[in-house]
Amino acid sequence: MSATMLTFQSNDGVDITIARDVAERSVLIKNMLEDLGDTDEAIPIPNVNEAVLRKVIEWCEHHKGDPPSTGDDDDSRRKTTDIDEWDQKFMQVDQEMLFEIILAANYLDIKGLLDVGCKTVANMIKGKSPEEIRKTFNIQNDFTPEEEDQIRRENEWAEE
Amino acid sequence: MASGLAYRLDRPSRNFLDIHSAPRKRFESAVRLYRARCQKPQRLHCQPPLPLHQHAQSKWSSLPLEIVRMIFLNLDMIALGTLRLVNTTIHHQVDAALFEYRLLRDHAAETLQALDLAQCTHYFSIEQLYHEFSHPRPRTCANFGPYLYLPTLSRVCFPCLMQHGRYRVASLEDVLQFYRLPLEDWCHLPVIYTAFDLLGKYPMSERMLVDVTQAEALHKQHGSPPPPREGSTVYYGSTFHCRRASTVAFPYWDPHVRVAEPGAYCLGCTVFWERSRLKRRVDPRTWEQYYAWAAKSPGHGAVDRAFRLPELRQHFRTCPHVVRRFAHEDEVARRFNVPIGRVFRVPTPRRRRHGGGGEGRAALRRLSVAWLLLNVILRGGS
Repeated sequence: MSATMLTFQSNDGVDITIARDVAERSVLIKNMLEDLGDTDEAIPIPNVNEAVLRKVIEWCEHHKGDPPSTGDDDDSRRKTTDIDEWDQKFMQVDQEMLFEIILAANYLDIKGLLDVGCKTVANMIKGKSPEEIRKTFNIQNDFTPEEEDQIRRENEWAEE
Repeated sequence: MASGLAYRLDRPSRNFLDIHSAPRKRFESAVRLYRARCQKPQRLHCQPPLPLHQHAQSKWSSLPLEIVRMIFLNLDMIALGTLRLVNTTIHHQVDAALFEYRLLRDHAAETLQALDLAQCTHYFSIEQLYHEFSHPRPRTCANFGPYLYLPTLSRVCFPCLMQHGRYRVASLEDVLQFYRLPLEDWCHLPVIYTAFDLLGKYPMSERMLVDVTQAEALHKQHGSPPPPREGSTVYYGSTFHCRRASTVAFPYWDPHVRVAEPGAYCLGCTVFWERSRLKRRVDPRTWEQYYAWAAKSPGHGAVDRAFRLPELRQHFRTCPHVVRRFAHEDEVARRFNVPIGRVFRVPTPRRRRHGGGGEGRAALRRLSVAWLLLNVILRGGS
């Protein structure tokens, strides 16, 4: 009989106990449990700290009943800006945390969370000028004016 | 498989949203204005930007390329163009990691320009665009679809576009009135600005088109009962010119042979249709007349059907009108006595010419003949 509760240990040494069906939103953990069988020991999550792990678990708990993605046409046609209202609020975190969540979702193989994270970053880029994007992500401009002109010309295919 | 003559349209976008139908200078200035508007966040999104501590280190460089690519796939072509201007690293990331961007720009440049002209580029991510680019068939039939219906970004063939209920467009004004949609729902409906705007031919009310099926779905989401369809222009108005105005020519990218296919047409089917058409009546003057009559005309189902080259060979096997010899080969195909496309020969694959034996068997046969000759020479010599 499989254990209903599992304990995970973040990389800063904090133990967090959650239900197995919540943890199995992560494909990495699901496969690991299938391979190793049940365990009472804390499972280490070496790449994720406590704060990020709690956020990831919060997302998994909210989405534990979601059907698996079918990848049918209508799904793929959803607009970039179409993020579930709850997910939008969930992603209202500082940028560092957002990037950490994306990296954790990638490591734990939680496709839904990774998609929402990537869409959120994409929405931060859309509708901005290059200068605004640099400011948003704290990126230095290392183009020479000539290079910038060249790329601008490449982008303007309407004028070719 | 069999050989035959086919033709490609010289201007597949003729009769659709066509960048060549708009005066060049007005087209350029309209696109420039549109792109400038796309860099105003409040028009596109309502989300406030996430805070970044003033001295925080950029985390962008910590993202692995596979995640950067996933973020880019959610962006539209305009945002990707803007990103290329941010710095050298991101410029290289877009160009190197996102093969979809380069392929679309190289092989579907006119379609991208038409999207800009229709002011709808910002609605669609590159992932959605590439998904349609690399899929040959519409969702409504099994034939090849050489066009792209913009309001839902769906690959479509000509007969389905004109006749299928899924591709129904109407003016934004009519749709909002008919479904009584609140104005904030505008941002959920891709609005297609037609080229008529530049040409100044049509009233303003017909210059902004939306998909009726999408509007209906939005209406249902609000839980409202469906409005009566009787007498509604949204349902019963003429939509032929609106459907064409919100559709563009879109080649298909075959990822296996790495070729962009705009679609080819069977010359025999067109010639048959032209001949049988002449016997029946004079040319129709409008698209409505054309379709009312075309449905009764012999060969009407075949004349508008586009093919990919491998499918065309298959078609030639069974087509009763296939043309294999043509005095005016390399000339243009004609329809309504108007030149429409360059004729070319679709040959039988080489390996099938040798009795179905293939190259390997032919080589073996040549070797056997050589061996026989050698034996004869040797025996004669001894």
